[in-house]
Amino acid sequence: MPNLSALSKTQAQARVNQIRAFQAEQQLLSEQGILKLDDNTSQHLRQYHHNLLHQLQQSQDIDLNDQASHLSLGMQIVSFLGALALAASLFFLFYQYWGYFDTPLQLGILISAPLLSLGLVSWLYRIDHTGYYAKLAALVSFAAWVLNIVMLGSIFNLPASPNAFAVFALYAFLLAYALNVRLLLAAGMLCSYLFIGARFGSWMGSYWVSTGEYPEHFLLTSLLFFLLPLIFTQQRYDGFAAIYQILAAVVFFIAILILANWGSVSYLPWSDGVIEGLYQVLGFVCSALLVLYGIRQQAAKLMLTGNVFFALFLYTKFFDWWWDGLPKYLFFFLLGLTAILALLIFNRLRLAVQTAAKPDEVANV
Amino acid sequence: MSKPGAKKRLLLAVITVLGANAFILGNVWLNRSVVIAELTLSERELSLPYHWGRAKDDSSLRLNLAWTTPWLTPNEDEWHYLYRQQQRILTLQPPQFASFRFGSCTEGYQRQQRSGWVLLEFNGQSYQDYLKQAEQYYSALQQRLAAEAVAELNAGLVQDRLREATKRRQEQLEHAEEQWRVAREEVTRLFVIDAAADRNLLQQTLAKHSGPKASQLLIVPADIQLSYTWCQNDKAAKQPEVLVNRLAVESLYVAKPYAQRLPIDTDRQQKIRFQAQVRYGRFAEPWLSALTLSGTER
Repeated sequence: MPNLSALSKTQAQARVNQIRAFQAEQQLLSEQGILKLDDNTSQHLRQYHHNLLHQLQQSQDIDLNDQASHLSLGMQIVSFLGALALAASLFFLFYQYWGYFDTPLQLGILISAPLLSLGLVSWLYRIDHTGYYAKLAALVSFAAWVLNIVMLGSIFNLPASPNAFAVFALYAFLLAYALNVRLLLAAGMLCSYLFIGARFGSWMGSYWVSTGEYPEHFLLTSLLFFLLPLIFTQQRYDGFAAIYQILAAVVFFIAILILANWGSVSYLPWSDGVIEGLYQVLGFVCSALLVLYGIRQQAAKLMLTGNVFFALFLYTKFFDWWWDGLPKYLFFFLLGLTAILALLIFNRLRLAVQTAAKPDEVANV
Repeated sequence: MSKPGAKKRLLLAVITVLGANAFILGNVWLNRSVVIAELTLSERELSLPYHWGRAKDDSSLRLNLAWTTPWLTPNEDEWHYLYRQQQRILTLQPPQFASFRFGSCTEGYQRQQRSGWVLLEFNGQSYQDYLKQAEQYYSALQQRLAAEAVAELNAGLVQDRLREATKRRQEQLEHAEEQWRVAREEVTRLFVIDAAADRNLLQQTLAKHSGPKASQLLIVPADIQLSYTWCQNDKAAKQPEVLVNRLAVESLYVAKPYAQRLPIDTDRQQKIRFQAQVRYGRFAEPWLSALTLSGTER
């Protein structure tokens, strides 16, 4: 039996799907009389797969059939909604009864809330092998931590500081990596964006609260997050590499899209027209590069992100050029034509990829 | 913990919680260990939130600091007169203005926000100047209305029109009296009188003040923005003006023992009068050290 502990959940699920596909194909071929295995080999193979699936299911809590897979998705959605609701409940509970406590009691509650919830996380992680309850408790713990810092600032009249986002991010990353929680990874990333953006804004001389008014604050952080999984492998953490790259790409392209349309919000010392033109070109080039990168890495979601933003850059440009000048039917007709053109290009790309993947079929053609 | 390193990360999370709380509480202790200013504010400077005691989801209480800036140009226009109670524009000396290193107007004045420091003055010269101007406005109005009354009598108006004019004048006078009372008894006495990006510049201004009033001055952090007047395209000489957007701490938390002393005004009909000792510590962070109820009025 191979060592399965090194596999991530995604890899383990892919292996299970592969075994199930193999078993289905084997059954079909044997029914058609094409593949005939002797009883001993067949029995051995069945036993091997059975043990392997059992071991994978025990170690990684993967889904062994379609129904289980659908239920897993449902559990993920429910646990996400549950975590949001519990975090909101905790938030309002604090505010509802806050005024009835003396300061020492308030302090005790504030500090113990994230610590107690961490204890709960640790306990749930030990007793529940699916990890759903522990992840849910981790999200509540993050909410308790945010409340801890915010309310401490409130009762001691501390001025708002961007450093709060740094400690929120640190806590979110620690919990995300401890329990493999993608939502907390995204929360950690967003807090990091705010912290780095605010610090960058302060260095540039502006007030940190206005960090969102300068999209360039987020470009460098996006590049760092995009490159992070390439430098530090995230193989042991299910879906983390995708979260890093997709969220980084989305933030990066939203910032570029804003700058491509409102050059006045840039730090660059050029005219608005030049800045907008520069960012439009950058947007087209980067989104096209992301599509190519997604194809090369076989990362469908990254490719989709690149596609969506390429289309957005294209359509905002069309809007700039033609919305006022052309009749509306012609404007939308042109949009339709560009969609057909894109379809043709993707079809060609698809054929090229498939051909490259199956050289024996090329010989047949 | 089945995943390697999970236990270590949860332990690091515990250390983060304890470390950050220790750091914040340590800073609070350091701030409060040295009192740089103590002000006795009242409901004039500390406004109760509109929903106090009625918000279903929030049982805590914060008092909002009400402050204004001096208006240097005397103006008898009523709108300007009232607007002064909540204005945020401040004219600075050139060194103070230059310390902010504002960019050119092509960048837009709205986006030129800076973290800086402001000099707060409580119940000082700025408030006295404001009172003097308010009194002048009231006296001028009284004189104008009296002159109008004499003119109307001499003009020999018919009885009805005379009665109507007297009534209008009476209303104007009552309104002006009320404004004069508000200036003396209701409006804030807390003024932001200077600002700079560099705290040392304000320390120099502060050092020039001496005597008992000096203890009513303090330097606190604030968010400053270039004023729109600086970027106006008129031919008049540009005034080095800034907008004080907000103080870094604009409201004060009221701990339970103090909050309990303030009656809950369920129908918003009564005026709650109180006195509050507000201390500012080493890092210019304020806190409420005492609160006493002076009374309530319908």
